[in-house]
Amino acid sequence: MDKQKKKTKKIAKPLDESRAKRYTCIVCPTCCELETDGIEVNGARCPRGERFALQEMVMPLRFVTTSVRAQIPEGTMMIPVKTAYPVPMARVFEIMKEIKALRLSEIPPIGAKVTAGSAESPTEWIVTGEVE
Amino acid sequence: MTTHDHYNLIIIGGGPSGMSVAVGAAEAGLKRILLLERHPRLGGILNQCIHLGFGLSYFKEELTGTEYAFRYKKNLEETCTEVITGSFVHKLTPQKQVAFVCPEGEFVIPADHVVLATGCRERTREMLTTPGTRPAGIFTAGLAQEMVNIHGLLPGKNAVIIGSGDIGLIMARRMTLEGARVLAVMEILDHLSGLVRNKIQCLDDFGIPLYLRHEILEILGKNRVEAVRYRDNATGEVKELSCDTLLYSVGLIPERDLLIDAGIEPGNGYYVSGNADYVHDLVDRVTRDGERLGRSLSGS
Ligand SMILES: Cc1cc2nc3c(=O)[nH]c(=O)nc-3n(C[C@H](O)[C@H](O)[C@H](O)COP(=O)(O)OP(=O)(O)OC[C@H]3O[C@@H](n4cnc5c(N)ncnc54)[C@H](O)[C@@H]3O)c2cc1C
Ligand code: SF4
Repeated sequence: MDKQKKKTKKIAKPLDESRAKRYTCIVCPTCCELETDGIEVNGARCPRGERFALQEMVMPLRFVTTSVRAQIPEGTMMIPVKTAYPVPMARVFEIMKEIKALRLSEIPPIGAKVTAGSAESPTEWIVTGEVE
Repeated sequence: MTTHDHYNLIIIGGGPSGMSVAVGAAEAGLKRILLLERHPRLGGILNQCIHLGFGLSYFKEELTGTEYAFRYKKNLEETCTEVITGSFVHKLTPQKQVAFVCPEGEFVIPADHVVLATGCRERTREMLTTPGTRPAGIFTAGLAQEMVNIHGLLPGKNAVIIGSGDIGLIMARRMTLEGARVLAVMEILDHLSGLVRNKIQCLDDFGIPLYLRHEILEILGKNRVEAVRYRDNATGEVKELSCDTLLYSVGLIPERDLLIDAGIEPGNGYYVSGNADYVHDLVDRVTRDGERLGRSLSGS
């Protein structure tokens, strides 16, 4: 709970107050409190946080993790997968619908690619686990 | 079954902690190492953690729990450790004998060092002491996680989560993605129990409310959960919320019954590691601590 947070050494950059937004960085468990006006970012302890804040302002992106069904002669197995890239937050439910509709006919190895969705806008997933 | 009738080190539990103790001990030069895991595969709780958030510190990359387990298993495979899965340890003696059953039968094997890496179990006392009926639809969050992620079963459609620990937060998102409605996460304390990043990406992203200082008073429902009665302890107001499922995420208890049953204290060749020692938020820490413990064990 009371994780000691080192004070950022960096001096806060002046922000355009009319556009400034606050975010908590979720890239790592440090959870820095960020503030950005879309150009400058304050509060980030590392560059990943700066990128996060700028991206979050334009279009939040998230990785989605779930498990997909594989129907093999022995029965149904759940295969853990993650999206190959972060996807727009606004599309998460649509993407979930697509992967839920998918049925694999064999158990892919960890690291294998799985494609779901329509041919025009497919989403690539990566298998993240072994299934015995 | 086992290749020796005596081991330098026997590790009970093949989760991240047990595996890392074996890796550390092998590095330190221990030769006869035996790792016992009751499940058919190694990895422990990581096998049901399909979400991202593991390994940032140890592997310098954000992995899912399942990926972390897979990667670390590779390290273990490079050691001389003998692994027996499907083996359940049921008894220890003060003479450092480990009794276990596996499909081949029962074995009692002595060791110089015995490490308990048995993880933890979910607290269910709150579940049992909440007044009201005992209808279907009440689960611990970890059990729900196993149901959804490994067995592909959804515990219910309209859920309330009791307690704001990480497993509860992760399950709030998981249930939502699977098409259930998570009506609220209720926490009796005035602060979140889990990690802030989990609140943001599991609750805030999906508009799931977190009710702090809220206490569940009663479970209502005949065959299936129908509602919960709860109190806002800040205002004293009592309300009801219709739901068909309750997930309890009210903490974890280190699993040390093997030592307790045998009346053994850690020390004198007995060690406790990982979540069996204390509850760790991050697996990276579990791995580092385990490797360190392993390296500190000397062969004899
Ligand atoms: C839902 C959830 C989310 C988490 N999220 C994160 C996260 O995002 N990032 C992160 O870094 N960490 C996370 N953690 C924490 C991390 O996963 C744990 O701290 C870590 O797995 C603990 O490892 P362990 O080896 O001590 O215990 P476990 O993984 O529980 O392993 C214990 C093993 O011992 C075996 N065992 C027990 N008793 C016996 C017996 N008598 N005989 C034989 N075998 C036995 C069990 O079968 C099990 O395999 C999360 C944990 C949970 C539960
Ligand atoms: S800014 Fe960097 S250190 Fe801070 S939470 Fe984000 S990733 Fe972690």
